[in-house]
Amino acid sequence: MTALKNRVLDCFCALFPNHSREELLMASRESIPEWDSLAGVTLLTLLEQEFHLTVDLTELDHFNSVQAVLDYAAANATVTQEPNVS
Amino acid sequence: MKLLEALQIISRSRNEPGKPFRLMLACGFTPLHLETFLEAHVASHGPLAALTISHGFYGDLAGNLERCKLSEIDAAAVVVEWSDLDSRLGARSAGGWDPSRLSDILQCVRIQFQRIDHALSALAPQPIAVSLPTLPLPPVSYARPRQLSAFEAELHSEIASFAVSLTASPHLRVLSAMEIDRRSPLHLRHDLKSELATGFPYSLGHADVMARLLAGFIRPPARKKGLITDLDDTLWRGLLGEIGAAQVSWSIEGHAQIHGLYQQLLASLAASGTLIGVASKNDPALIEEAFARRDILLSAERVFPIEAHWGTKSQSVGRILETWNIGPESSVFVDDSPMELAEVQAVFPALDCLLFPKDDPAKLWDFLYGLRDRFGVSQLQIEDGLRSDSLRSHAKFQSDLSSHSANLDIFLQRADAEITFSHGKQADGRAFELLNKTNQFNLNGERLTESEWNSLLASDNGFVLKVAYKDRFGSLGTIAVLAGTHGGDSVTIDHWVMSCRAFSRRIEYRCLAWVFEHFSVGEIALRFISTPRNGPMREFLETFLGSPPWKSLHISRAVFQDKCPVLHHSLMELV
Repeated sequence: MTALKNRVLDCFCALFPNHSREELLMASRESIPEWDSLAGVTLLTLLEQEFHLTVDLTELDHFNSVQAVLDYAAANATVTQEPNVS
Repeated sequence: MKLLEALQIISRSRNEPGKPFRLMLACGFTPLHLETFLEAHVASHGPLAALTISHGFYGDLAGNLERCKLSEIDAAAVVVEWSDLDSRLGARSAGGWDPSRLSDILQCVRIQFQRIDHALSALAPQPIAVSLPTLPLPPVSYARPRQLSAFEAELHSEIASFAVSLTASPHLRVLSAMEIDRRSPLHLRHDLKSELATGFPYSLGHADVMARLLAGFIRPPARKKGLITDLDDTLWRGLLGEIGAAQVSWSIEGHAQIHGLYQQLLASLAASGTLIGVASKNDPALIEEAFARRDILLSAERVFPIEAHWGTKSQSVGRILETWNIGPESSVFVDDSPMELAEVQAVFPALDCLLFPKDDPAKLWDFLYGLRDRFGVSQLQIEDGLRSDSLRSHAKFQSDLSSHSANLDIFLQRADAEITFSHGKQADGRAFELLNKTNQFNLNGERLTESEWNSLLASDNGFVLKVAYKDRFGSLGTIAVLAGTHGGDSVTIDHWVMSCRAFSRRIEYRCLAWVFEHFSVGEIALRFISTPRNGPMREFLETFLGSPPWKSLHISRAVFQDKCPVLHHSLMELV
């Protein structure tokens, strides 16, 4: 779970570089002004590419917080050992 | 590049110092990940502190270009897709594919191309990269997919005509469809799910390839200047010392066509400005004999210098680089022996060392394309064809000069030197290139973007002086550029470069004399900055100051006249 959590946080850090990792861990869509619909689509694409998932656009409605995305990734990601590109 | 990596590059680059740069990404679809990849690839060519990317409205490429103002951008990337030419050719429209509508679609395509062409012309001279439709055409036509229909043929004909008109314009660079095909397979380009859901039609892989190619035009990597080649089993098949000049081969009959193709490419590179030198462990007389063969494809006149001896290859490479006066980072070394490559690489780590694929003809095409990529030019200039000859003339000039060192004035007087000054402010690729590649005689080492160069040419109080030179040893073409501002009774030179091939001819004195006379001023300000490599400029300015300069300076007419030696050039002036 820690490796998966770190990789999901890598995605959030790249997407919202003005926020710290610690801040992002507790963040929600309301607390990050840059988390608009375009950022949502980019987040979805990042999850698809990094975790080899196919995420339906309707899932975006459920991605309201970093924790919600973490939970989704934990439940659906099949590949968790891929090396980090950062 | 993965999307995560692109975002991380962008995040890092925003914290680095650099110049502001305004890029327009003109497309008719949602730019989404193409914009991200483009920003990352542009940033990876060097820091740009304030890179801003603008785009227009969804579904209106031609309108976005028409609304774009020349003064608001430094460069543009224009991405044309089928739906920009007629929305019926896209997946998000249902305007009808009835065969009776196909001629109307073609008519719309023609009109859209005219609009785009007109809008692109209005953006000259800012640098613009253009890509033409890359996605698979939807099944619009009545024919089976295996059959080329008249409609599809006409559509491609329209695109080809448009591409021809674009390539004629020096500020436009069109992405090669063949190169896109090589890097991005057609069937992996389109992401229909994404297009329908978000309006972004590219797969991530295709977006990355397109962004990489567009960025390569917007911030092109430095072009290599010289290629040093081995001879035996590289330029020709066989060992010269063993079988003789008559028996080495580069023909298809001699089963040595790959060497012939390599020679053919080198001849073409030489004609477009690449310096070609030879480093070979051979008998110089035998090499001369081989180059004298009538069937050789790379003639001896295209090659300079030839280093032939039994010492190490790195010694030869060092001497050739010294003759060319360029660094190893600007050169390529080609040999068929991994051992020789390793020996040279150990001495010159920055040199690009390439193995000639003598045992694997299948790899030749990639090898030759790799050379074209390192040495390719956007457009040919007169100086490109002169480079090898002018190096030879320079060597002869230096040799005669050293034998007349006791009486330099007599030597220069007999050189029949002619300098041509041109101070028209029309765009000139050679002047821009010279400003951005000259290190030694360079006032401050500053490099200009194409956009900054265009602004300088357009400014009311700015001046640009281009200097061409020839003498009885040959023509050097345009060898110096001065640029600055003039107002009232003051002149400031902001940029001044001169090719090292033009040293020792007192051209630099003649340039200052021209500025004093042309602007009738009593003093010239020079925005000098010392760099690790501009020693020759520093030494020249020291002759007026008495001590090495370390910051911006002024030279008065009286001091100039006192220190200026006798000048023997005849002068021509072009406006």
